[in-house]
Amino acid sequence: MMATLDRRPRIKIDGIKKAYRTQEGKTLDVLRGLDLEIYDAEFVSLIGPSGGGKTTLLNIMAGLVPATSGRIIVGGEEVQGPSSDLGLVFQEDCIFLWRTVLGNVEYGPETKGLPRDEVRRIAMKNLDLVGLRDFASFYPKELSGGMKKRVALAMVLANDPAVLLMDEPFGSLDYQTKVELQLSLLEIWENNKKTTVFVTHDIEEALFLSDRVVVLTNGLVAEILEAPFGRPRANELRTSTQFAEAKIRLWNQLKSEERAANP
Amino acid sequence: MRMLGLALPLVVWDLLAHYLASNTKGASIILPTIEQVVREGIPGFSAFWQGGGRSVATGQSNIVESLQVLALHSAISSARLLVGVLLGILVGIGIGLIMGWSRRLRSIFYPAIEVIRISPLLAFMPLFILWFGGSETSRIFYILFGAAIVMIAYTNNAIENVHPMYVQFARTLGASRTRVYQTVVLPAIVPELVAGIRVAIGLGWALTLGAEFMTAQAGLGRLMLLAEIWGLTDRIIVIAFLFMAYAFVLDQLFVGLSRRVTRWKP
Repeated sequence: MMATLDRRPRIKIDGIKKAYRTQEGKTLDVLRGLDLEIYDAEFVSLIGPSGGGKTTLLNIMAGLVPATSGRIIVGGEEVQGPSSDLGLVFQEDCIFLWRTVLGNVEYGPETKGLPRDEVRRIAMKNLDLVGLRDFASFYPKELSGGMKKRVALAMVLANDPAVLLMDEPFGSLDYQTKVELQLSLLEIWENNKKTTVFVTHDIEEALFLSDRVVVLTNGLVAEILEAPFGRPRANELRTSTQFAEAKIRLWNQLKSEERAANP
Repeated sequence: MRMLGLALPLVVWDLLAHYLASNTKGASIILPTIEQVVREGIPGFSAFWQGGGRSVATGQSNIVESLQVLALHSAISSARLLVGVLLGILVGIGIGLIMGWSRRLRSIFYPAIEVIRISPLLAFMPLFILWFGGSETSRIFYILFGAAIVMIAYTNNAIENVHPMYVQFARTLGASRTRVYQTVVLPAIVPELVAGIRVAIGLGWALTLGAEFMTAQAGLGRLMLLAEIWGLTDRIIVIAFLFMAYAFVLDQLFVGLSRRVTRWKP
């Protein structure tokens, strides 16, 4: 059981509503007044059926999309637009094809205007972190899917953001690579303890990585589950009875939410 | 296989030419044989030596002088082309980048560019002659114009094709809109610009030939006009081949040069 007494909220999601106007002129309420608090150094997963608004919420948190109403407060300040403090790892591959791996990771520090050698130092450090030191001079076209994800992660971490947002980053990868990257991510997280919000539709992934799993249905928080496992997490956990039970519980929760949402 | 493909039209041409020669009077004006082109056409340019002072009718051909004539006029045409196309590319990319910065600018100016782009540019030549006379300026401007239109279209298109995800990612890494334009949009469009430049160069040749044909005192287009007037089809064919060769060589040269900047493209 986790102590929830003296944890400060790092991220406060306050009454977030997001409505879209469809082509036919109808209004689509993607988020309907979402309230959520995410604590400092916490790893939280957002899970839910497709179209439940998870990606939209993440984009709003990153400052890329304005909410229809409500606000996001990170570290005491309201989010007004994208910034290097709100790191986002996208679902799709969007590392820059025209830069080498090293050039990509240097992008953030370069943008900050840091001196050349500092930029290089930070970039190499983060490349080491994701295990791609030997690929520094490669172009993205020469990399596998998993490696490109590592580069994206290194790029975001190179900015030392206050908050790490990840939008189904491992969704397009095969199971082996996914598991590898999950372990790498946890290893990195154990060291930097960044407040992380991780969107996924994979129950196993959510449970394996997180402290808490937040179920989002119909644009609202439906359920919050505490992951009843200690840290650090190892692959053996995946095949334990405890894990299987948690999975079943979460699965049933999701099913009932889905049924309630679509009668 | 490729050699066979190239040889085939030559064979057909020669057969046709011989057939005409045995059937029609003055067949060498309609379609000279390959032998005629080589034996009479190539050395035949000496007739235009020193401004065409030597009469064609004397039949005195001198291969050395002929090659000198061809070299001189090739240089003149190439120079025109390079100056016009280079300026046109710079102007075109420049305008394209300015338009690319704002969607509003694009929507205002792009329709006009599109209309000009799809019209036959030869139709604009008389306009340039009217504005600038038959001077060198009119020719260079004309080539510049054609190349610029191509590059504006290609640049605009390339900018529209940049995936918004790259832009968004860059923004979350702390980049301002200006920095995004400089470090994401510009590098991303380079391959498409290279493709555009190839097209612009190809078009440049056509415009150069056209402009010389109509207004010039020197250059391969001018030679072609003179040959046409005198009914020297073999010489016309020589010039046509030269043009094809130059266009091909320049294109290949450019492709080779541009490989470095496009090596990242998957």
